[in-house]
Amino acid sequence: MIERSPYPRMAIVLLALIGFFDATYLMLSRFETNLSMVCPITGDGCSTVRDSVWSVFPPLHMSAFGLPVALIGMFGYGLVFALALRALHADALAGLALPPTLVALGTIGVIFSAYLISLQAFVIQAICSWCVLSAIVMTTIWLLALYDWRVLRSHSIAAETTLGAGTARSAH
Amino acid sequence: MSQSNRRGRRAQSQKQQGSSFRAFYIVLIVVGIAGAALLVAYATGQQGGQTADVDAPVTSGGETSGGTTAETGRTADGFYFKGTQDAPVEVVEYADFQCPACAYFVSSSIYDRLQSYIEAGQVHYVFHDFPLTGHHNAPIASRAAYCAGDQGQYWEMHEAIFARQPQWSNMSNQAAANAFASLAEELGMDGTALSACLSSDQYQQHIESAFQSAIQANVPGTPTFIVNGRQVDATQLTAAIDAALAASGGAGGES
Repeated sequence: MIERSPYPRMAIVLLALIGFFDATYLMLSRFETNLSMVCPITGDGCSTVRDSVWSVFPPLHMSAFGLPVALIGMFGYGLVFALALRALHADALAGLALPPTLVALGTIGVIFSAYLISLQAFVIQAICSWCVLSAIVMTTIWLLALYDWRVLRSHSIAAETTLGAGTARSAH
Repeated sequence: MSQSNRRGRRAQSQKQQGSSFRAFYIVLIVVGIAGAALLVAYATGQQGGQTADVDAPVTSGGETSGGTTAETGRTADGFYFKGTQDAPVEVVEYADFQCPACAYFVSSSIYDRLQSYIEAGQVHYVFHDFPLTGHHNAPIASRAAYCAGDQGQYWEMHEAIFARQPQWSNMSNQAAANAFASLAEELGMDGTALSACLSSDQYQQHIESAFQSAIQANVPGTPTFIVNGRQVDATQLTAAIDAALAASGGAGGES
């Protein structure tokens, strides 16, 4: 394992846990028969978004086999949480390099968040604050994962050069 | 000497890291417990409020509409309406019989408020079916209501189908069709005739075009209400009706 600051990865673990709880609340609210939801700042926006056809992917009016986007979020954040927790102490898991994997998951998450937020802004025309929180959390995770991977790459290049110099010297 | 120095620094940094890891895991556990506790409190609090609706008797909804003095019928587009067409406010509801929030709406006090506006001649209420593709029994439920309408009991069946939603939601199409037939019998209709209507292709075309026109109207979800052209959701419905009445000068009816 290449030594570098563990703080970005620690932050990813914590943020993924917060994202997981956020998504779990949104999932639980689907079982709620009540029309309104706990929805800070944006008022009725959360229930409007929850009851829209877009709260399922693929959307409820387009496919018979959609998954609630909140459930997709729970899986996504759960996966990021588990991998980032492992990444605190190892750079790979079963041959899979963890830092680039976290960047890849973060990229998918940011694209999916952008899709969901633009639907709220332009199609549903209601904003769900819990969904905005998730988008902010996911974007931060992605930026931190990018940073951590960059640090790792610069360190491993440095390590390779010193290692290369070392073997060259010992050959003499 | 420089090597031992480096080793010392490394040991120190590992020690520092060890303690920051310990602090991190403590924070992680605290956040984990707090979050889980909040969600459990939310979920258990929610279940308490939810159980009341599940076994709602079909007659409770049926009685209010059975005893309605308001005019009922079908619009030019073939949708059922309730309340005089001369009412100052028109409310079009886009809903899906299999959508949980739509069923909750019918059991809520907002629905009762809507009925009193209708009775008072202030609202002309139209139900526009929007059976979402993800809800496999929604189209047959819509058709069952229309088939009951053939026997003169559209609104009774409408409310009963919503009240029984938890029972038929997860059934196969065939089992749901049977459930609707026995529900019709419970409401004093001819169950065999309803079954025959459901197994024919009656209203299939109408329900399909209702879905298409809702898509074309960009209805974002269910239930959605159009109050004199303004799109609102269930929580904003009564406020929107009041505003529309005030705008039309009809709100003075109470004073």
